[in-house]
Amino acid sequence: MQAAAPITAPVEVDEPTSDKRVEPERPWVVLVWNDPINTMDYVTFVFQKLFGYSYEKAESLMLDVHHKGRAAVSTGAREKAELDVFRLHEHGLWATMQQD
Amino acid sequence: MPDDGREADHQESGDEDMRFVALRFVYALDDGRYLLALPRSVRAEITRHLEDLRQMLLSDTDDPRLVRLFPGAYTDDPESEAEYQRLMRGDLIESRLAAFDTVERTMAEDVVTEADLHQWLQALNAIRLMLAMIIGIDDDEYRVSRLDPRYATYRVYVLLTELLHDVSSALRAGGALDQR
Repeated sequence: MQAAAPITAPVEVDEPTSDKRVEPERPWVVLVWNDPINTMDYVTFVFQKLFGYSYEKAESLMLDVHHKGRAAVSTGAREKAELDVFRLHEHGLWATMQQD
Repeated sequence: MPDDGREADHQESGDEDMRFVALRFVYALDDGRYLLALPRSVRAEITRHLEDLRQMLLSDTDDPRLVRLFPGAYTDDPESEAEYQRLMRGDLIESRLAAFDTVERTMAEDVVTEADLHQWLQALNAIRLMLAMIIGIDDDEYRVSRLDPRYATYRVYVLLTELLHDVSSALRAGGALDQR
């Protein structure tokens, strides 16, 4: 049988005095930009390799890069976005990050 | 972004010199490894450019020929961009040099592992980025005529484009992407 929970005395808590609500940090978006050097096939391959995307999804993102000039390939916290950008840079893609 | 250029360059230019080989350079083997069917001349060309690029990376990474190897991460935040470069540029150089080490270690081999071939992929593309800056490639349809003094460099660039395509195709055929 579970022991009864100990009774604790109430303590004073500092309530927030501001009317402002604490918003969660907006996610960061990793963008890959079109360039005249990396081939369509290579970019598709890198998206599959780094993010585990299916061929169809990777190709669709590559076509966005090709036709629209850029595509958002991943999102997340700042540290994750920086790591994704770094890995894309390792593979020679032109990647940047910005807050959504 | 250009296509892989495997056939298009030959057909459009009608240039026999661009027909390096009719067959692919890289094949997936049944045992999970990969066959590098690279002529000695191609291996020598890669080695020469790897050595050049290694020296450039070790001497001055602000060299304009390396600009595509170190893109910016933050386009509208100079402070964050400076911090990114301070923290990541060294890692990026280390990563590239490690890839070069692997390529040089396996350059004389006919068969390499999947991990080795991924390093080949990174190293070959790094050379392509450098050569593209030297040639001045700024358009998907960019071509260099045989009379142009940059033609010899352009030939190597096209060769590496084909080789890179063969590496990624072989890794796909070998199931490398499914093993993530």
